[in-house]
Amino acid sequence: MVKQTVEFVIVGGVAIIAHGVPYATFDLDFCYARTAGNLRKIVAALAGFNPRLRGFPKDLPFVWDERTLQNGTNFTLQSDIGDIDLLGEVAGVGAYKEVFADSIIVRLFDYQVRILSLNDLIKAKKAAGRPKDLFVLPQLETLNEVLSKK
Amino acid sequence: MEKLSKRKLEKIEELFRNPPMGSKTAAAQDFGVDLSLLFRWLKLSPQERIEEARSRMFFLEEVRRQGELARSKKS
Repeated sequence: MVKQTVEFVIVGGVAIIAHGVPYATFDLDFCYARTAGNLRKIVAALAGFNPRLRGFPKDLPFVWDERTLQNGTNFTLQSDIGDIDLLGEVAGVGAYKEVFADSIIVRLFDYQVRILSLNDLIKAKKAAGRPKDLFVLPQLETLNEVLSKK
Repeated sequence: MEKLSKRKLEKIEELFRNPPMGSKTAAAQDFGVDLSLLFRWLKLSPQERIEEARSRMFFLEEVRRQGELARSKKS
């Protein structure tokens, strides 16, 4: 994705871990810009990893192309490199523009990538409101508190 | 975002040891958050945190696999 210069922000469990919360996650969640150029880059970046819809029968026809991405917003995918969620918007925060606005840059495995800010992670988890989201909130709020202290 | 400075970590360690009443940290401790574990992770860089999480997930996956294996041998 970085090599293809895809515009994305890491928003899920991996962002939580990168901020410093011990957390178990088994997928990679991206919020992505929904411009035509970016959709093209996403398609190219993931095409080699056989992306398909997660939780649907294997024989259900699925075409990995820009048109498919244009016709939806959020996609839960499985691929040869693991599960990937592509989110056009993040509940509690907004679309890519809002997600990007407060995102921060981290260096991971020789690449600079953007992750959702702690503030926005807290907003997203509150908005999602599932038990697993609410469970991690006290840790995110603690980090937000201690890291913002001078 | 890189590793936290030694000075910052010392401040956080002190806050975790004596969370101010009414603070989010105190609330988290009451909720059952292991602040010592949180602190240990804060000492790592973002990449080290992800590597640590990944190794734990491999471990969990291996436990799950061994469990399945043991169950299949029983039946």
